[in-house]
Amino acid sequence: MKRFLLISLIWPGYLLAQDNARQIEMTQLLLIKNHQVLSGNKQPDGLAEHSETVLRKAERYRYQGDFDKAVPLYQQAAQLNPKRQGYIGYVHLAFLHDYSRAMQYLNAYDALTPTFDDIEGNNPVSYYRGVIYLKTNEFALAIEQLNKSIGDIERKHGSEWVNYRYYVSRARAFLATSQPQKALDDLDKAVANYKKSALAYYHRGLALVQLGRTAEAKSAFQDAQFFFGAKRVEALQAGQAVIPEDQLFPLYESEIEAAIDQLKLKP
Amino acid sequence: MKKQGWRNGKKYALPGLFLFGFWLTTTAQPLTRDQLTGQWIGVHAELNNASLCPLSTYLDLRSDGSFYLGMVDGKAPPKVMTWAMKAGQLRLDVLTYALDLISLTNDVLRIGQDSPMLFRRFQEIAVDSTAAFQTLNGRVWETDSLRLSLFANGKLLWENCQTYEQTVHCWQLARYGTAVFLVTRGNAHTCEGDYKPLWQLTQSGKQQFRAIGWNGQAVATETFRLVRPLKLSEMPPANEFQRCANCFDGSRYSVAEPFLRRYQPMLYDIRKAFEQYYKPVVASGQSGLVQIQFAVDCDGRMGRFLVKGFDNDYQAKSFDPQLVAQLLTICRQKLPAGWRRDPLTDQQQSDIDVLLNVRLSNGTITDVFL
Repeated sequence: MKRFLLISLIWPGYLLAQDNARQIEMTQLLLIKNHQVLSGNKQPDGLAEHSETVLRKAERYRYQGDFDKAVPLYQQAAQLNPKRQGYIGYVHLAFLHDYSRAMQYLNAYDALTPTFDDIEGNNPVSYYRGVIYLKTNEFALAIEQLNKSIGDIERKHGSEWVNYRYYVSRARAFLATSQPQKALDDLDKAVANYKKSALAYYHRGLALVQLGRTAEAKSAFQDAQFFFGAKRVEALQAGQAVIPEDQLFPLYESEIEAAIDQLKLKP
Repeated sequence: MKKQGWRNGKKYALPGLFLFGFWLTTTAQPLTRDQLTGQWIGVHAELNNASLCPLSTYLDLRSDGSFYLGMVDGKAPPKVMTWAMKAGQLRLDVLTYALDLISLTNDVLRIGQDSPMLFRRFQEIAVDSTAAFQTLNGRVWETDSLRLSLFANGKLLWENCQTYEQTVHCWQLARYGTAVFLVTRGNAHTCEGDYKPLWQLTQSGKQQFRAIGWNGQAVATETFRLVRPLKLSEMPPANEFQRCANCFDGSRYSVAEPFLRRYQPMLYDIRKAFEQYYKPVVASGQSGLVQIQFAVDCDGRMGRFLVKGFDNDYQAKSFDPQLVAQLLTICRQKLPAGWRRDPLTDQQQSDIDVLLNVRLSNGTITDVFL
């Protein structure tokens, strides 16, 4: 299995870099790859396993951009195994940017255990709801949902146990509704939980701009720029890809630069 | 009583024998060692995304149990291993294959399920390579599906008669035993690697030559008709879009997350371009998703544009041609450059497939994502 995984990982690279001598190696790799029996061809043992097969098929169509084929398959997979509705909701949110379907799936998933804020991946459904409301500019509802995600953890374990991204997301909603002080309070907690967060510093800068504290805002944006660059250098030195801090709200280097440029225009 | 029973049995014996015979002829027979012994010329591998990756290698399964894996044009020394068939399994070196992973139909050997590989049985047909070279060189030849322009400088223009796609490669005639193969490889920049399907010449004449190879549908013997002589000045300009890899399409469909998620760092500038240049086509019914696919070759040139439309329920849909034309123009002319540099690893890429989604509501862009 490990060998298969290794081959799967290096496979695209081989296709991209074929020189003459590599043709033999490529044929050997194909022979290795082909002595595996496809798990998808096995008869499924039950609905849950069948659901996984359908889900894999849906993912492949999504990668190819065949959304017309992928979306009905996601629906089928959700019917076969309702516990996968959480993941399918996440896919609609993060990759298809289809917020109404994402909400439907996540709500249905959460309804499986009515008294509990269900977890999908590492986050509660309330957090995803908050993100969806942020995306659809329904900020009061976003704050309500994020209050729930944050409040539950703060009450049980304290603010230092809250994922800093939750605070940044709620701060976004506060900024969008012109409540910069509340945003700043959240961003202070975010920075306390992750001191190298470019995302948190960038939003801190935005909050400070709204509060008219331009010099501090400039400093926050510069911190964001520094940590953004430092993270990239660190990853490249380690030979790893740079993953955005928040996949659902990626921060862009150009975005920070634009914010700094904007400040320069202010007196 | 016994006789009676025997008679009754006899009544069913003939139909029974017939059914047994029918079963014998219709049920796939297990492959034998004799059937597999011999030389097999690579055709292609079918990748997960249904694209075909030509194979330029051969398998030589010898009766003494040795197994040679080499290149038809001899560009690299063959690897020598062993092979065997026993207990319903084929062993190639250390890899064992259940026999249901292998099939043989009309002398085409298919190995595997994940990315099935096709090899055809080699037919040793002696051809005079010098005469064949003089015939082929500096001329345009075509079948119903393929047109090959073989330039005297070793370059080749490969044209798909169905899609009209033209690509530039290098060509040579390679001897394999007494047989001769037309080998096409490389791209506009290099003659290294990236093979196109091999064609084995079976006959060459002044007006036509015949060759065995993959014609896009099957392994077949095709007749290449002479179209006209060719001058070097007819070489297409080097600034046309062309994938640098002939066997490429695997990148976007790699394991885990789609390849393009890596390009998210460019999304801010991409969105800015659409914000700046797109003029809303205010019309009802212009809601849903327009998906623009294109490729960027290893020189950063764009090509192979393809547009798909979906309504809000992901059913196929056509959008206003003016709207689509606007989006295409922005993609062609206004998107940030630098696709070749992977923003996450800072490495130079080979060709890249881009898939850009534009969500619209009544002709106004509401979202752009990769």
